[in-house]
Amino acid sequence: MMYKKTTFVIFNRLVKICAVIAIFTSCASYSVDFEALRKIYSQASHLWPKAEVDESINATEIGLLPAVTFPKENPYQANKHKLGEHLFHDGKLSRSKQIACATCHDHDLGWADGRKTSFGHNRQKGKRNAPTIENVAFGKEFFWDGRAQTLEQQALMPIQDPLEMNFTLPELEARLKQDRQYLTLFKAAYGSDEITAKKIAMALATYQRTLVSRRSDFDRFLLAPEQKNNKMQKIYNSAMSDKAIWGMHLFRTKAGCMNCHYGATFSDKKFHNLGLTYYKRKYQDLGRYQYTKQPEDVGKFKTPGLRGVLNTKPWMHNGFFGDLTGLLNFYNAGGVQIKKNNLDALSPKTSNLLKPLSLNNEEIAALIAFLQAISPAPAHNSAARIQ
Amino acid sequence: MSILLATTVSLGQLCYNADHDINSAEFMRAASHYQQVLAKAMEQKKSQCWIISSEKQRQEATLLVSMDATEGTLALK
Ligand code: HEC
Ligand code: HEC
Repeated sequence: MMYKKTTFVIFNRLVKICAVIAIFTSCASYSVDFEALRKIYSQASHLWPKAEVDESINATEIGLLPAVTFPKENPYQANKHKLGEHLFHDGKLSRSKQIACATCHDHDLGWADGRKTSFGHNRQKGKRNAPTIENVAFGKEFFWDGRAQTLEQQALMPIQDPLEMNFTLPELEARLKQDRQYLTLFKAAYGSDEITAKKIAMALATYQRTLVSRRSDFDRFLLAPEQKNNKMQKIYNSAMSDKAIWGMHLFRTKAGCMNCHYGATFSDKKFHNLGLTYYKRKYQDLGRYQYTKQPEDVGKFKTPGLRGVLNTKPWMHNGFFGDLTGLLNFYNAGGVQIKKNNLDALSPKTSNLLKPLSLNNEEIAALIAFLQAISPAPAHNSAARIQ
Repeated sequence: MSILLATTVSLGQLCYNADHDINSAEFMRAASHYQQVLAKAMEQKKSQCWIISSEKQRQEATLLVSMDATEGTLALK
């Protein structure tokens, strides 16, 4: 019961330090025993303090990303990957020939577009913030509302969306058939130069599955014990600062983030309402309800993964948050708590997993340091370990 | 006379609308004259307006409104 003992030590020192400082209100900011925290978290993760989550939540531990597995129906194939990469960066997939997938999912902008909401065909403004496509290989349902079940299905949707690429699949097939380079690429990928929407989708999905977050400071910290000598172990262990480790501890405990952001990608892959529905107002977005038509889904959005989150500002489905302190102020206040109007079946209800957190400024800064530690530079083009 | 004018001329109002607030307080980074009243209104979730009575205040109010991503939490009236 190593953990109990160390917590006791932390607690003991906390009491002592508080007594010495005797400034009761600012006590918390001086009471963190960084050395003890590092020790606890340098152990294998099953020895970490238990994550503080609601009893209804079965949170798997945060940790290293697994290798990507490709679906049986669309296995990895190097030439298909290459075709997908080409398609992804080609404006010809849009009616105007101006807008590629990469326009809104740009490597340099964390595979997102850096805008509050995206611009598409004719510079029309969409309603939602473009999410990163890093780690979509590990996703279950796609889009903020989960309306696409597979990446293959997802890939054809922006092409036909009038606000995005505004094209049709028959026109796209016809356009690509006139292009010699594509005939060659399709032949190499599929053994025949027949061009179909299905093949386009499969290639785009294959390419996107290779965009996996780089190793983060958090990953290096976790890998420290596996390093071959003492010196390397030390270097890996110091990848995370004291502040970031404290932030990780808060993320798992007091801040309650693991109620929803858990596992290797930091997402439960479920849908929650944080109170940003803007019901019956400008910017209303009913979220998952639009797809399921279930009243309990009004205002629910998919929990995004958090790896690389610092690269994809502004945040949330509507891009309303431009700095992380602001985003954490929001969580600290318990999100936006809206009283449900029981006479109106569609009136949204904020998740009861969100509660005021009483985090102080240092704790908020520590949480941000942790989010930094899980945000390496944007994924390389084709970074996946292929299985 | 001119002193009287300066103290009574109103350059409009800065209004806080609690219903639109997402609690991020991002605009508070630029608040100075309106810092205290805004902080209190936000804490109490109480919608209200304050008179703008100088050019400097008008500039601050305009900046705060432009920093409000919700485009509804703060407004000039
Ligand atoms: C005009 C900008 C724009 C273009 C062009 C665009 N996207 Fe997107 N993409 C978005 C936005 C905005 C969303 C979120 C929309 C939503 O959830 O309703 C999104 C969502 C996604 C998602 C879901 C990610 C997740 O985690 O759920 C994937 C995958 C994706 N896009 C891939 C593509 C591909 C492939 C193309 C090209 C065929 C493409 N996008 C073209 C803006 C764009
Ligand atoms: C009740 C579940 C839940 C809890 C608890 C929760 N989140 Fe979230 N988080 C979400 C959902 C859902 C979204 C997207 C919501 C939206 O866009 O409306 C999100 C979005 C985010 C984003 C924006 C990511 C992006 O790409 O736009 C960050 C950062 C984030 N959460 C961090 C945290 C941190 C830190 C905590 C703990 C203080 C936390 N979350 C607690 C569910 C949760």
